Amino acid sequence: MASLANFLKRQPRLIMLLSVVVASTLAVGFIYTKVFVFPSYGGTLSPYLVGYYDLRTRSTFGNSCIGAACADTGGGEGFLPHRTDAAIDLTNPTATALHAVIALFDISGAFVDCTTRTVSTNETVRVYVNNNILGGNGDSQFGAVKVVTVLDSDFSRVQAGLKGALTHFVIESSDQTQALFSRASRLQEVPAEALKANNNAELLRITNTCL
Amino acid sequence: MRFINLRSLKWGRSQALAAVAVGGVLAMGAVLISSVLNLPSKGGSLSAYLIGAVNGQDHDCFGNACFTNGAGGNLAESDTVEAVVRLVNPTNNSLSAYVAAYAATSNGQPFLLGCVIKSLDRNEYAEVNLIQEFAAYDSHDFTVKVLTVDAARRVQAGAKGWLTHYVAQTSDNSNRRFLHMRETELQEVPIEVAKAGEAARIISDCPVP
Repeated sequence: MASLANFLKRQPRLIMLLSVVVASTLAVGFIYTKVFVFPSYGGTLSPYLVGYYDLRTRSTFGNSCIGAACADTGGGEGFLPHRTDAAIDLTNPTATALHAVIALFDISGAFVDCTTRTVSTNETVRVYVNNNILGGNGDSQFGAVKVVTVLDSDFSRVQAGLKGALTHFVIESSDQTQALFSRASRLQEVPAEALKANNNAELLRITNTCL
Repeated sequence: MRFINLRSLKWGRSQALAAVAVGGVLAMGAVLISSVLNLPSKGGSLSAYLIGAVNGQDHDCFGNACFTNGAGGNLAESDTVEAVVRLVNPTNNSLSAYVAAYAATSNGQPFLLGCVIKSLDRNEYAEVNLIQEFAAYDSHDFTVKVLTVDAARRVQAGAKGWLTHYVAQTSDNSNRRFLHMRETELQEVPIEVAKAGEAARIISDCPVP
């Protein structure tokens, strides 16, 4: 070891060259890993998610309305859908605690109501549109759902990080039978530019009311 | 231009440390820049051209029941009752959406089932009951296309869409039917496809009322 130390002391340029080589190798390795190994990043996150809710119940529907007035005949199709709700599931796969603003709009785009939830790291939070936002008074309402996420530690900072799912539940009855049916899809990601357009018009419309 | 002759340089340990420091800073800078430029958290997309696949055909049986001459087929019988296109405009712009349905004849010739135009202002929700609107009950499996335009009828992205199928299942008698549902997102198609003639075709198929 002593001889190696003496050798290195006599060769400062060699040390410098070795250091540069090591640093360059590390740099190339980092860049290769970042740029070339995962070029697509295989997924996206947006601070602005959009969905819909539909809490209507109808006993006559679809093809039974073709060629005739689409009147509710009290079970013409044999089913009686009732007691419906829509669930919004928000999952945070990031290492940052986020705060989600969930706003509802009616069919004409008018603001209806909103709520907020903290979604911590790795947490999934479920919010029911009818029971948790509309106080159980959501029967027959439908429209758009918008979710905007901000840092839980600073509500003024918009931050991407949540994935969202949308599940509609409908209870149907026929004779003495009741069954629960559901359908699911995703909350869809909208570019943040849409949130910030026209001097943050969409962002302020939501956050000024709900935060 | 001459290359630097390292042998002519008399660098000490301080210069070596400086070189390492510069190399390290460059490396970290490159990593940060690559991260920033790739913007991994900046997700989301909007397209002016959305499509979905609609199953409008009735089925008397599914799977193995179709090979047993109807034995047990009633248990799997289903009617497509409705397919609903749902559109939401999350942008600050007023849009109109052309919702057009196309099917194909048995020899592969495409034809228009029908088309409607829906107004879609900011934050607005619109829907089209395809089976009812186009009288397509038990007729075809077909493609639904949605093209969004601005107030000047220029193609403009801004809507997100979903497609909900409702299927009534008949069990032992016609008074006992349940309504099953399934849902997916309308898929976004690159604008280049719309510009290659599809947008013009949809607009010409759907005259403004």
